Amino acid sequence: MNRTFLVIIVVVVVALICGGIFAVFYFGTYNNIVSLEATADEKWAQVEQELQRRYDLIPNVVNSAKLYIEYEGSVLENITNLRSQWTAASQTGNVDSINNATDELESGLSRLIVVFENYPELEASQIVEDMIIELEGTENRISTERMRYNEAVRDYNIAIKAFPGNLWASGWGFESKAFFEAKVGAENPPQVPG
Amino acid sequence: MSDKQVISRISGRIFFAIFVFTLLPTLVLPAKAYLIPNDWIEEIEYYALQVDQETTAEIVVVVLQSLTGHGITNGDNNEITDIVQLGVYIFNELPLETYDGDTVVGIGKEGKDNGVLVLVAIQEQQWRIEVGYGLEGEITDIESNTIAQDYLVPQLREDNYGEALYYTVVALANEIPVANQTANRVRGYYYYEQDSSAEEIPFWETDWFILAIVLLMILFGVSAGIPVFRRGGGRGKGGRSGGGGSSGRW
Repeated sequence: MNRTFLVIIVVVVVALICGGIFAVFYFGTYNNIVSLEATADEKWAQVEQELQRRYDLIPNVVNSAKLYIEYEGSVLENITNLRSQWTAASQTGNVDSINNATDELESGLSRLIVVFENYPELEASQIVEDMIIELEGTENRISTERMRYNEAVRDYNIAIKAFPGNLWASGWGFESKAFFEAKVGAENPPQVPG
Repeated sequence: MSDKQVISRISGRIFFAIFVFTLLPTLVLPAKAYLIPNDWIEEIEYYALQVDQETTAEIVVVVLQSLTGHGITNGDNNEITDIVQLGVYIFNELPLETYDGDTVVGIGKEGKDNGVLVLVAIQEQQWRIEVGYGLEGEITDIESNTIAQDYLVPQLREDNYGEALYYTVVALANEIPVANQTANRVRGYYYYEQDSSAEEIPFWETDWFILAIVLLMILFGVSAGIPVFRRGGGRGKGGRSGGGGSSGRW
């Protein structure tokens, strides 16, 4: 009688310990993925903030460029169009379509910088110089936040695809996140000439 | 002679030998050859220390011989050769030595993100001013460019590196408002340079003296916190930046 009782206690204790270890493991994994996801979301918010910054900057760029460039209206028109496309993409919240729209806007802006370079007297103007500096700063910020977002996404994706996350991640409703990748060449922001 | 005396004598000799061995490299190795005259480095250090004390902001100057061969790599072990990316990396991830032998990652104070990095690559004639998140309002991209065009570029063109960097630091500091509270912990070091006397080894990895002390500590079983100037570690945490500022050539 006494002995049976002892065996039962031992079995219960062992079960509790195993269960406890499993619970720590299980919830630890969950918490880890949650915090990685939160980090990635936070970095994405940073990216969006910088993209918005560029978006807000474009009317200034276009308006002040209009004062100087008479023959290159199509370049400016193009940028205005790409800006509205970007707004549409941004409202969908889809990383891939934002990615595409961003790339196109970026190449539109670098074409504008090339136009500036073709007008030496334009480059000498303080307004244009400041505008280029501001554009360049915005591009640098975007590429920095973009890089940090991608690093966070990589950590998060690894966590849900590698053991032990892969056992439960889909059950918990975690999905892998898309990278915000720059096109080849687009990761180099326009340089200030001279 | 008792055993105890013998042991103490032998250990005394070992200690002396190691002590001499420790000091030797400092005698044999050539003194660091700075690109910038020492007087100017002292001026920069002194001025930046005052700025740190009064505003808690940290203005750090880093001078590289070249954008290649400096040994600063990103996560994939590729050397960073773009001055903007290099600036972001040095600002946010590279452990830099501070006066008490510790290293700190991030320029500026943690939470305030009030750092400024002035980075210059001599060979490529490129400059970069990287502004921490917390100072982007005080030093806008345009303002940083204006300061560089007024103080940095003209003097760099004349090869007056000391003047260029000093007056740039002063101009940047003038944009930073005085803080109500003083810094409870200053950075202490504000000027860093790639060591030109040992080009194959990046400047933050050569420290014979610390290496020798570490050996001493291991030999004598001292397990105190060992300050080693090495990347990857980093004890203190500082401010962050996100690509704000400006860059150009001279």
